[in-house]
Amino acid sequence: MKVYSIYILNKAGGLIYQNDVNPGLNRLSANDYLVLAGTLHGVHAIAAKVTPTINGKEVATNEYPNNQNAILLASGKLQDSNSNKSGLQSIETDLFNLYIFQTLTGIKFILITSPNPVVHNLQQINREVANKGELNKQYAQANEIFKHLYIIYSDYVMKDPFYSLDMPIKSSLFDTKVKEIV
Amino acid sequence: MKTTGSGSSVSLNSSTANHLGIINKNNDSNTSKLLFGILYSLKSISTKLIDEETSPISNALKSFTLGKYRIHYLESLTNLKFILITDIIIDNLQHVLWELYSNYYIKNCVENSLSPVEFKQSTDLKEHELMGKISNYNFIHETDHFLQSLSVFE
Repeated sequence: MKVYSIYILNKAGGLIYQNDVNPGLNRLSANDYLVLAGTLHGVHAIAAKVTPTINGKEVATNEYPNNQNAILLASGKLQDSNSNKSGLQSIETDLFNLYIFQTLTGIKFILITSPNPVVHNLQQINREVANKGELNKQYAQANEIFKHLYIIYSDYVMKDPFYSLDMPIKSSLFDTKVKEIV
Repeated sequence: MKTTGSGSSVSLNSSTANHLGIINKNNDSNTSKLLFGILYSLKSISTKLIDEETSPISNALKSFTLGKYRIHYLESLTNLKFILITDIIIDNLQHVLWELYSNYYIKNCVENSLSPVEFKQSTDLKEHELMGKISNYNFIHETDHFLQSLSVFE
Protein backbone atom coordinates (compact mmCIF):
# COMPACT_ATOMS: atom_id res chain seq x y z
CA MET A 1 0.00 0.00 0.00
CA LYS A 2 1.36 3.36 -1.07
CA VAL A 3 0.12 6.49 0.68
CA TYR A 4 -0.64 9.32 -1.75
CA SER A 5 -1.97 12.09 0.47
CA ILE A 6 -2.86 12.93 4.03
CA TYR A 7 -5.45 15.55 4.94
CA ILE A 8 -6.53 16.77 8.36
CA LEU A 9 -9.93 18.44 8.78
CA ASN A 10 -11.01 20.42 11.81
CA LYS A 11 -14.39 19.75 13.40
CA ALA A 12 -16.12 22.28 11.13
CA GLY A 13 -14.87 20.59 7.97
CA GLY A 14 -12.10 23.08 7.21
CA LEU A 15 -8.86 21.75 5.78
CA ILE A 16 -6.08 22.43 8.29
CA TYR A 17 -3.35 20.19 6.94
CA GLN A 18 -2.59 18.76 3.54
CA ASN A 19 0.43 16.74 2.54
CA ASP A 20 1.01 14.93 -0.75
CA VAL A 21 3.46 12.34 0.46
CA ASN A 22 3.81 10.41 -2.79
CA PRO A 23 2.93 11.50 -6.32
CA GLY A 24 -0.05 9.80 -7.93
CA LEU A 25 -2.90 12.23 -7.55
CA ASN A 26 -3.86 15.25 -9.55
CA ARG A 27 -2.63 18.56 -8.16
CA LEU A 28 -5.54 20.83 -7.38
CA SER A 29 -5.68 24.50 -6.55
CA ALA A 30 -5.75 25.48 -2.87
CA ASN A 31 -9.41 26.38 -3.22
CA ASP A 32 -10.28 23.00 -4.72
CA TYR A 33 -8.69 21.24 -1.77
CA LEU A 34 -10.90 23.25 0.58
CA VAL A 35 -13.96 22.29 -1.49
CA LEU A 36 -12.86 18.66 -1.43
CA ALA A 37 -12.48 18.72 2.35
CA GLY A 38 -15.86 20.36 2.80
CA THR A 39 -17.53 17.85 0.50
CA LEU A 40 -16.07 14.90 2.37
CA HIS A 41 -17.15 16.43 5.67
CA GLY A 42 -20.69 16.87 4.34
CA VAL A 43 -20.89 13.42 2.80
CA HIS A 44 -19.66 11.93 6.06
CA ALA A 45 -22.46 13.67 7.94
CA ILE A 46 -25.11 12.63 5.40
CA ALA A 47 -23.85 9.07 5.40
CA ALA A 48 -24.44 8.83 9.14
CA LYS A 49 -28.13 9.61 8.47
CA VAL A 50 -28.53 6.85 5.90
CA THR A 51 -29.01 3.62 7.77
CA PRO A 52 -30.19 0.45 6.08
CA THR A 53 -33.21 -1.46 7.30
CA ILE A 54 -33.43 -5.22 7.21
CA ASN A 55 -37.01 -6.50 7.33
CA GLY A 56 -38.20 -3.09 8.51
CA LYS A 57 -35.80 -2.92 11.44
CA GLU A 58 -32.94 -0.48 11.58
CA VAL A 59 -29.51 -2.00 11.79
CA ALA A 60 -27.62 -0.99 14.93
CA THR A 61 -24.51 1.02 14.13
CA ASN A 62 -22.63 0.98 17.46
CA GLU A 63 -22.63 4.76 17.84
CA TYR A 64 -20.43 6.07 20.61
CA PRO A 65 -22.44 6.88 23.74
CA ASN A 66 -22.58 10.52 24.79
CA ASN A 67 -20.77 9.81 28.02
CA GLN A 68 -17.81 8.29 26.17
CA ASN A 69 -15.35 10.63 27.86
CA ALA A 70 -16.66 9.73 31.31
CA ILE A 71 -16.34 6.05 30.48
CA LEU A 72 -12.78 6.59 29.28
CA LEU A 73 -11.79 8.46 32.43
CA ALA A 74 -13.54 6.06 34.80
CA SER A 75 -12.16 2.88 33.26
CA GLY A 76 -8.75 4.27 32.38
CA LYS A 77 -8.58 1.63 29.65
CA LEU A 78 -7.31 2.09 26.15
CA GLN A 79 -10.18 2.15 23.68
CA ASP A 80 -10.48 2.44 19.95
CA SER A 81 -9.67 6.08 19.22
CA ASN A 82 -11.66 6.03 16.01
CA SER A 83 -15.11 7.49 16.68
CA ASN A 84 -16.14 7.07 13.06
CA LYS A 85 -18.73 4.33 13.54
CA SER A 86 -21.70 5.18 11.36
CA GLY A 87 -20.36 7.72 8.89
CA LEU A 88 -18.39 7.28 5.71
CA GLN A 89 -15.47 4.92 6.37
CA SER A 90 -13.80 4.38 3.04
CA ILE A 91 -14.14 4.87 -0.69
CA GLU A 92 -12.72 2.49 -3.26
CA THR A 93 -12.16 3.58 -6.85
CA ASP A 94 -10.16 2.14 -9.73
CA LEU A 95 -7.09 4.25 -9.00
CA PHE A 96 -7.13 5.12 -5.33
CA ASN A 97 -8.67 4.26 -1.96
CA LEU A 98 -9.66 6.86 0.60
CA TYR A 99 -10.03 6.26 4.34
CA ILE A 100 -11.55 8.47 7.02
CA PHE A 101 -10.67 8.41 10.71
CA GLN A 102 -12.47 10.62 13.21
CA THR A 103 -11.29 11.42 16.70
CA LEU A 104 -13.62 11.90 19.67
CA THR A 105 -13.20 15.65 19.31
CA GLY A 106 -14.40 15.57 15.71
CA ILE A 107 -11.10 16.05 13.92
CA LYS A 108 -10.92 13.97 10.75
CA PHE A 109 -7.79 12.39 9.36
CA ILE A 110 -8.11 11.45 5.70
CA LEU A 111 -5.73 9.09 3.96
CA ILE A 112 -5.60 8.52 0.22
CA THR A 113 -3.72 5.38 -0.80
CA SER A 114 -3.14 3.19 -3.82
CA PRO A 115 -6.06 0.81 -4.55
CA ASN A 116 -6.23 -2.63 -2.97
CA PRO A 117 -5.61 -5.71 -5.15
CA VAL A 118 -8.88 -6.81 -6.72
CA VAL A 119 -10.26 -10.13 -5.54
CA HIS A 120 -13.66 -10.96 -6.91
CA ASN A 121 -15.93 -12.52 -4.31
CA LEU A 122 -16.75 -15.61 -6.29
CA GLN A 123 -16.29 -18.20 -3.61
CA GLN A 124 -18.32 -18.79 -0.49
CA ILE A 125 -17.70 -16.20 2.19
CA ASN A 126 -16.01 -17.79 5.14
CA ARG A 127 -16.92 -15.77 8.22
CA GLU A 128 -13.83 -16.88 10.16
CA VAL A 129 -11.37 -15.55 7.63
CA ALA A 130 -13.74 -12.97 6.18
CA ASN A 131 -12.02 -10.06 7.85
CA LYS A 132 -8.83 -10.97 6.03
CA GLY A 133 -10.06 -9.91 2.59
CA GLU A 134 -7.75 -7.62 0.62
CA LEU A 135 -9.87 -4.57 1.35
CA ASN A 136 -10.11 -5.23 5.06
CA LYS A 137 -6.40 -5.95 5.18
CA GLN A 138 -5.68 -2.56 3.71
CA TYR A 139 -8.24 -0.98 6.03
CA ALA A 140 -6.31 -2.40 8.98
CA GLN A 141 -3.06 -0.99 7.56
CA ALA A 142 -4.66 2.41 7.12
CA ASN A 143 -5.91 2.32 10.70
CA GLU A 144 -2.39 1.61 11.87
CA ILE A 145 -1.17 4.73 10.05
CA PHE A 146 -4.05 6.74 11.54
CA LYS A 147 -3.05 5.67 15.03
CA HIS A 148 0.51 6.90 14.50
CA LEU A 149 -0.73 10.09 12.85
CA TYR A 150 -2.99 10.81 15.82
CA ILE A 151 -0.07 10.31 18.18
CA ILE A 152 2.24 12.70 16.33
CA TYR A 153 -0.63 15.15 15.92
CA SER A 154 -1.08 15.17 19.68
CA ASP A 155 2.65 15.44 20.28
CA TYR A 156 3.73 17.97 17.67
CA VAL A 157 0.60 20.02 17.00
CA MET A 158 -1.46 20.07 20.17
CA LYS A 159 1.58 20.53 22.39
CA ASP A 160 2.91 23.36 20.24
CA PRO A 161 2.35 26.54 22.29
CA PHE A 162 2.20 28.68 19.15
CA TYR A 163 -0.54 26.62 17.51
CA SER A 164 -4.04 28.06 17.64
CA LEU A 165 -6.93 25.60 17.54
CA ASP A 166 -8.71 24.89 14.24
CA MET A 167 -6.13 26.88 12.28
CA PRO A 168 -3.91 25.51 9.51
CA ILE A 169 -0.95 23.47 10.76
CA LYS A 170 2.32 25.02 9.66
CA SER A 171 4.86 23.05 11.60
CA SER A 172 7.92 21.71 9.80
CA LEU A 173 8.57 19.30 12.67
CA PHE A 174 5.13 17.78 12.18
CA ASP A 175 5.81 17.59 8.44
CA THR A 176 8.98 15.58 8.93
CA LYS A 177 7.30 13.26 11.44
CA VAL A 178 4.46 12.62 8.97
CA LYS A 179 7.03 11.76 6.29
CA GLU A 180 8.68 9.34 8.72
CA ILE A 181 5.58 7.24 9.36
CA VAL A 182 4.51 6.71 5.76
CA MET B 1 -36.56 -3.54 -5.96
CA LYS B 2 -35.40 -5.49 -2.96
CA THR B 3 -34.43 -9.07 -2.51
CA THR B 4 -34.12 -10.22 1.04
CA GLY B 5 -32.42 -13.40 2.14
CA SER B 6 -32.69 -15.30 5.38
CA GLY B 7 -29.42 -14.22 6.98
CA SER B 8 -28.01 -10.98 5.73
CA SER B 9 -29.86 -9.09 3.07
CA VAL B 10 -28.92 -7.93 -0.35
CA SER B 11 -30.94 -5.20 -1.92
CA LEU B 12 -30.84 -4.07 -5.47
CA ASN B 13 -31.85 -0.71 -6.67
CA SER B 14 -31.85 -0.18 -10.38
CA SER B 15 -32.69 3.45 -10.65
CA THR B 16 -33.92 4.99 -13.85
CA ALA B 17 -31.58 7.05 -15.99
CA ASN B 18 -30.17 9.82 -13.83
CA HIS B 19 -28.19 12.33 -15.74
CA LEU B 20 -25.48 14.29 -14.00
CA GLY B 21 -26.87 16.81 -11.59
CA ILE B 22 -30.50 15.83 -12.01
CA ILE B 23 -32.26 14.60 -8.91
CA ASN B 24 -34.35 11.49 -9.37
CA LYS B 25 -37.74 13.10 -8.76
CA ASN B 26 -39.51 9.81 -9.31
CA ASN B 27 -38.36 8.58 -5.99
CA ASP B 28 -40.05 10.12 -2.98
CA SER B 29 -38.03 8.26 -0.39
CA ASN B 30 -35.57 10.60 1.32
CA THR B 31 -32.98 7.88 1.77
CA SER B 32 -32.51 7.51 -1.94
CA LYS B 33 -32.09 11.26 -2.33
CA LEU B 34 -29.41 11.24 0.35
CA LEU B 35 -27.76 8.28 -1.32
CA PHE B 36 -27.85 10.07 -4.64
CA GLY B 37 -26.22 13.12 -3.06
CA ILE B 38 -23.48 10.96 -1.59
CA LEU B 39 -22.91 9.20 -4.90
CA TYR B 40 -22.77 12.46 -6.80
CA SER B 41 -20.18 13.97 -4.43
CA LEU B 42 -18.03 10.87 -4.27
CA LYS B 43 -18.06 10.52 -8.03
CA SER B 44 -16.87 14.08 -8.51
CA ILE B 45 -14.12 13.52 -5.94
CA SER B 46 -12.91 10.36 -7.68
CA THR B 47 -12.67 12.08 -11.04
CA LYS B 48 -11.18 15.29 -9.66
CA LEU B 49 -8.26 13.65 -7.88
CA ILE B 50 -6.97 11.79 -10.93
CA ASP B 51 -5.32 13.56 -13.82
CA GLU B 52 -7.27 12.46 -16.89
CA GLU B 53 -4.43 13.08 -19.31
CA THR B 54 -1.84 10.89 -17.64
CA SER B 55 -3.98 8.03 -16.36
CA PRO B 56 -4.64 5.14 -18.77
CA ILE B 57 -8.24 4.66 -17.66
CA SER B 58 -10.80 7.09 -16.37
CA ASN B 59 -11.26 6.63 -12.66
CA ALA B 60 -14.58 5.15 -11.65
CA LEU B 61 -16.07 4.79 -8.19
CA LYS B 62 -16.30 1.11 -7.26
CA SER B 63 -17.63 0.98 -3.73
CA PHE B 64 -17.74 2.81 -0.43
CA THR B 65 -18.33 1.85 3.16
CA LEU B 66 -20.81 3.53 5.49
CA GLY B 67 -20.74 2.25 9.03
CA LYS B 68 -21.58 -1.42 8.98
CA TYR B 69 -22.36 -1.88 5.31
CA ARG B 70 -20.78 -1.43 1.92
CA ILE B 71 -22.29 0.02 -1.21
CA HIS B 72 -21.15 -1.40 -4.54
CA TYR B 73 -21.63 0.85 -7.48
CA LEU B 74 -21.49 0.59 -11.25
CA GLU B 75 -22.47 3.22 -13.76
CA SER B 76 -23.18 2.36 -17.37
CA LEU B 77 -22.30 4.60 -20.31
CA THR B 78 -25.90 5.81 -20.40
CA ASN B 79 -25.64 6.99 -16.77
CA LEU B 80 -27.67 4.12 -15.46
CA LYS B 81 -26.57 3.38 -11.92
CA PHE B 82 -26.50 -0.10 -10.47
CA ILE B 83 -26.18 -0.36 -6.72
CA LEU B 84 -25.81 -3.36 -4.45
CA ILE B 85 -25.74 -3.00 -0.69
CA THR B 86 -23.89 -5.70 1.22
CA ASP B 87 -22.15 -6.54 4.45
CA ILE B 88 -18.61 -5.13 4.82
CA ILE B 89 -16.99 -8.56 4.45
CA ILE B 90 -17.65 -8.49 0.71
CA ASP B 91 -14.81 -6.77 -1.14
CA ASN B 92 -15.78 -6.54 -4.74
CA LEU B 93 -18.97 -7.14 -6.70
CA GLN B 94 -18.13 -5.30 -9.91
CA HIS B 95 -18.57 -8.42 -12.03
CA VAL B 96 -21.98 -9.08 -10.47
CA LEU B 97 -23.13 -5.55 -11.24
CA TRP B 98 -21.79 -5.87 -14.76
CA GLU B 99 -23.65 -9.16 -15.17
CA LEU B 100 -26.85 -7.50 -13.94
CA TYR B 101 -26.46 -4.80 -16.52
CA SER B 102 -25.14 -6.74 -19.51
CA ASN B 103 -27.24 -9.87 -19.16
CA TYR B 104 -30.37 -9.03 -17.26
CA TYR B 105 -31.05 -5.36 -17.83
CA ILE B 106 -30.16 -5.35 -21.53
CA LYS B 107 -32.05 -8.56 -22.20
CA ASN B 108 -35.21 -7.81 -20.27
CA CYS B 109 -35.58 -4.05 -20.35
CA VAL B 110 -33.63 -2.65 -23.29
CA GLU B 111 -34.41 -5.36 -25.81
CA ASN B 112 -37.99 -5.55 -24.65
CA SER B 113 -40.01 -3.31 -26.92
CA LEU B 114 -42.92 -3.23 -24.47
CA SER B 115 -40.79 -1.86 -21.65
CA PRO B 116 -41.11 1.92 -21.19
CA VAL B 117 -38.07 3.98 -22.11
CA GLU B 118 -38.61 6.46 -19.34
CA PHE B 119 -40.07 5.48 -16.02
CA LYS B 120 -42.45 8.26 -15.21
CA GLN B 121 -44.50 8.46 -12.07
CA SER B 122 -48.12 9.16 -12.72
CA THR B 123 -50.68 10.16 -10.11
CA ASP B 124 -53.59 8.25 -11.60
CA LEU B 125 -52.05 4.81 -11.26
CA LYS B 126 -54.14 1.85 -10.18
CA GLU B 127 -53.12 -0.36 -7.30
CA HIS B 128 -50.87 -2.87 -9.02
CA GLU B 129 -49.42 -0.55 -11.61
CA LEU B 130 -45.81 0.33 -11.01
CA MET B 131 -44.84 2.86 -13.63
CA GLY B 132 -42.10 4.51 -11.60
CA LYS B 133 -40.06 1.36 -11.29
CA ILE B 134 -39.12 -1.53 -13.50
CA SER B 135 -42.13 -3.83 -13.22
CA ASN B 136 -40.97 -6.36 -15.76
CA TYR B 137 -41.70 -9.78 -14.27
CA ASN B 138 -38.86 -11.53 -16.05
CA PHE B 139 -36.31 -8.92 -15.04
CA ILE B 140 -37.32 -8.99 -11.39
CA HIS B 141 -37.39 -12.75 -11.15
CA GLU B 142 -34.27 -13.44 -13.15
CA THR B 143 -32.20 -10.90 -11.20
CA ASP B 144 -33.66 -12.27 -7.99
CA HIS B 145 -32.70 -15.77 -8.99
CA PHE B 146 -29.23 -14.65 -10.12
CA LEU B 147 -28.49 -12.81 -6.87
CA GLN B 148 -29.69 -15.69 -4.74
CA SER B 149 -27.57 -18.13 -6.70
CA LEU B 150 -24.40 -16.22 -5.85
CA SER B 151 -22.10 -17.92 -3.38
CA VAL B 152 -21.80 -14.71 -1.38
CA PHE B 153 -25.56 -14.60 -0.87
CA GLU B 154 -26.64 -15.95 2.52
